[in-house]
Amino acid sequence: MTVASENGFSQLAERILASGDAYQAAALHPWLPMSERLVFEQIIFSHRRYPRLFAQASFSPVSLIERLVQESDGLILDKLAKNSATPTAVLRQLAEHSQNQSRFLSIAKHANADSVLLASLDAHDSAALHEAICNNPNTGLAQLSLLLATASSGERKAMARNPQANSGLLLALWQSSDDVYLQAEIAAHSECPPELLALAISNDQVLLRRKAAANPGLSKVQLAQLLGDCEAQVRTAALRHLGAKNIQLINEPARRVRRELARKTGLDKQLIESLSIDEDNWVRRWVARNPVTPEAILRVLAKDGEVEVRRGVARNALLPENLCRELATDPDSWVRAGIAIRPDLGVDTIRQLSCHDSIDVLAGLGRNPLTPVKLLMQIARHSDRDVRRAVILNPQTPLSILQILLEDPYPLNRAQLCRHAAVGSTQLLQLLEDPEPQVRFSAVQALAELSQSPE
Amino acid sequence: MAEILVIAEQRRGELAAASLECIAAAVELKQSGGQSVVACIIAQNPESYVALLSVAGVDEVITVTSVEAEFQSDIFAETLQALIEQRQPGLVLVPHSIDAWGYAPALAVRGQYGFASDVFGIRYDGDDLVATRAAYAEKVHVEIDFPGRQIVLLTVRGNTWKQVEESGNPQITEFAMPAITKRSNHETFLEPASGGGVDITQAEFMLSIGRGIDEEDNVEQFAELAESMEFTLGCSRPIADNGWLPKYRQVGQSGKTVSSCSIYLALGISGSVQHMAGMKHVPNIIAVNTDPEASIFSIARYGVVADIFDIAEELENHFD
Repeated sequence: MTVASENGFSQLAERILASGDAYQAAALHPWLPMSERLVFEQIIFSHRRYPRLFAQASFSPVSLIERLVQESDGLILDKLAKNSATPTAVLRQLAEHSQNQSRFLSIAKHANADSVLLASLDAHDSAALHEAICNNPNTGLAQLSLLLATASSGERKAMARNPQANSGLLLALWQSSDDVYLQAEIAAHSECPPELLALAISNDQVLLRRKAAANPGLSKVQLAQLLGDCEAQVRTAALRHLGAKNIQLINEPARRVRRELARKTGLDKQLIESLSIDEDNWVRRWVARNPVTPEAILRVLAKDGEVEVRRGVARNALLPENLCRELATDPDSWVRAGIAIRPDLGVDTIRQLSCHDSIDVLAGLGRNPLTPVKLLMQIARHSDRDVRRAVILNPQTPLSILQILLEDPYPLNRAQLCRHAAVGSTQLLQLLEDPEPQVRFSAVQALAELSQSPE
Repeated sequence: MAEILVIAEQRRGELAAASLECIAAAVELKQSGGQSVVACIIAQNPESYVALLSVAGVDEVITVTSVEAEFQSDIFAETLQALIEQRQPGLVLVPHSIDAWGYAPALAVRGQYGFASDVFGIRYDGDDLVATRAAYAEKVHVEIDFPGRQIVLLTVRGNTWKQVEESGNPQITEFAMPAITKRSNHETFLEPASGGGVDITQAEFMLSIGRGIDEEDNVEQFAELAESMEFTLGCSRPIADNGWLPKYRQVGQSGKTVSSCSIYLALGISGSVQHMAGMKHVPNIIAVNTDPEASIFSIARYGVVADIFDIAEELENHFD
C-alpha cells in the first residue's frame, strides 16, 4: 500500500475504520472530507472517555475540537476552554452558549481569546474574571481603561504589566496609588511616560530604579546614570538591557555585574582580558562562551581548572578548529559532549569523540548531522534510550538505521520516529500496529501528511 | 506471625543505605504486627557490617561469609533460598536495586513466594499482607495482596522509609553458605559515571528547567540562579536531548526520580507525564509557567503564571 496517492489514503482510512482505534481516527479527522467524518466520529465517540481525552489534549486537531464543542457534556466543554489548542472561534462559541463562571475564567485566561471576546466576558461580574482579563495580553486598551475605576490592587498591577496599556493608562495607574510594586511595573513598561521614568530612576526605592533600568525607552544619559548606580542589582539590570557597544566598566566591584558584563558582545580586548582572569568562575564561563573572545584568551580558558569554563569554550560559537580538536580529548565528558553537538565538527574530531563511552558524548554525536552512518549505526544500538533517541532526532539519519529503531522498547522514541523525514509509508504502516496510542496517533498524522505530498 | 527477613546489601565494603531503609520498613511493620526482624548480610567479611545493622528494632543479624568479594546473583539466589527454607519468614524485604533485580525475581519463582517489586507501601490488613507499588508509569498506585502465599518477597523502593537512627542490641548468628555452582565470574569493577559529583536523587531542593528557557545560553543563567539559591539544577527531557545539560540532571521517566526532594521549583516545564513521573511525589512543588493550563499546575502546591525570566530576576535579586 502506498499512501502518497488517493487510493492509498482511502486504504488507510479503511484500515483505521476496521481497527476501531479512536486515536487513529482522531489523527485522521482533519484530513477527511466533511462527508466522511461522521463515521470516524462514531469511533471517537464510542466511549465517553475518548471525547473527554481529546477535549483536553493539546495535540488534538482543530477540526476535532470544532466538532467537540457541539457536545453537551459540560466536562468536555470545560476541558475545551482550557485546551491551549482551542481556536478563537471555538472559544467564542463556548462563551456564547455558557453560563458557567469557571468556564468564563478559563476563556479569559486563554492565549487565543481575542480582544472582542474578552470584552464580551466583562459583563460577568467576578473579581477573578476581571483579574484574568487584566492579565491577558490580548485585552484591548479600551477595556483596560474601563476596568480601571473598579480595579483591585492586583488588577492594577496586571494592567501595568499588560502590553496593551498606553502612556495615558499608565499615568492614571501611577496617580491612583503610591504602591511601589505598581509603580515598578509601570516603570518597566515600554509605554511608560518619560516623566514617570525620570521619577523612577531617581527614586530612593531600589526596586523602582531596577525596574526602570529594564525600560527600553531610557535615554543614554539615564542609562549612564543607572550604570553608575550604587546598587549592584540596578547596574546589572541596566547592563542587561544595554546595547552591544561602548561598554567601559573596568574595576567593577560586584561579581553579579561582572558576570553580566562578560556576556556582552560589545567588549573591547582589554576588558575581555581582565574578565577572563576573574576570580569568579561564572565570569570566566561567560567569557568562554562569548563569541567576541579572542582565540588567545580561549586557548587559556580551554585549560581552566573549572570544567564548566572549559565547557563554555567548547560551546563558543566561533571556536577555532584546532581548539575544537583539543577539547575533544578533554578529560571531562561534559566538555567533550559540548564539542559533540557542534555543527562544525571535522571527521577526525568525530573519530576522537567516538572513542569515549559517555552517554552525553554519544547522544551529542547521535544527534549531530555530521556523524558518519557507521557510527550512527553503533549509537542506534546503545542500551540507553536517550542515546538511541538522539539518533532519531538527527535529521540526517538514514532509513536503514531508523528501521532498527522501529522496535525500540521506549514508546516516546517510536513516536519521535514517526516525525522523521526519512521514515516512509512502509514503516509508518508498521507503526499503526504499535501498542502505544501516541505512536499510532503520530503514525497516522505522518501518513496523512505523506498522502498530501507529491509522489 | 512469622519473622521479617531483611537482606542487606553492600558494595565494595560500604553498606547500602537502602539496607537500613528496608530495616526501617520492617521495624515499622513490627510495631503493628509484633514480628521479629532479622537482618542478613552476605559478604566476604560480614562481621564488619554487624554494628551498622544493629539498629533499634532488629532482633537478630545473620552473617553469611561469601567466597566472593563482589555481588554474584547465583550466590545470593542460592544462599537466600537455603536461608529462607530454613527460617520460613513470612516476609522478605530486599532493596529495589540493581543487585536485587539480578536475583529476587528468580528466587521468588523458585520458592513460589508471593512477589512484588519497587514497593513503597507495606501494611497488614488483618493477617493479609498488602503492598503498594506504582503502575502505568506512576500514573496509578496499586495495592497488591498475596492470597495463599506463606512467604512474600518484596523489593523496596529507596528513599521511602527514614532510617532508624537509634542503635540496638540484636543477637548475632551465622549461616553457612551452601555449595554453589557459579555460572558467572566477576572480572572487574567499572565505576559508573560520576555525574559531576551531583546525584539529583539525593537532592533536597531542586530547581528544574524546561523548554521555556528557549536558548542554551539561558541555561547558564538558571544554573547560576540555582547555585545562588543553593538548589540542585535539574531539567526536563528536551533540555537534555538538546545536549544543554547532562543526562544525569534529567528528571523523569527516562531520567531520574528526585526521591529525596522536598522543594521542587519547576521553571518553564509544562509537565509531561514522563517528567511528572520523576517528581510528582515531592511535597512542595512550585511551578512557574506562562500557560495557566499547563499540566504541571495540576500537581503543584504553588503555581505562578508568569514569565520565568521575570521570576528568575526577582529570585536572583533576593538570593544574591
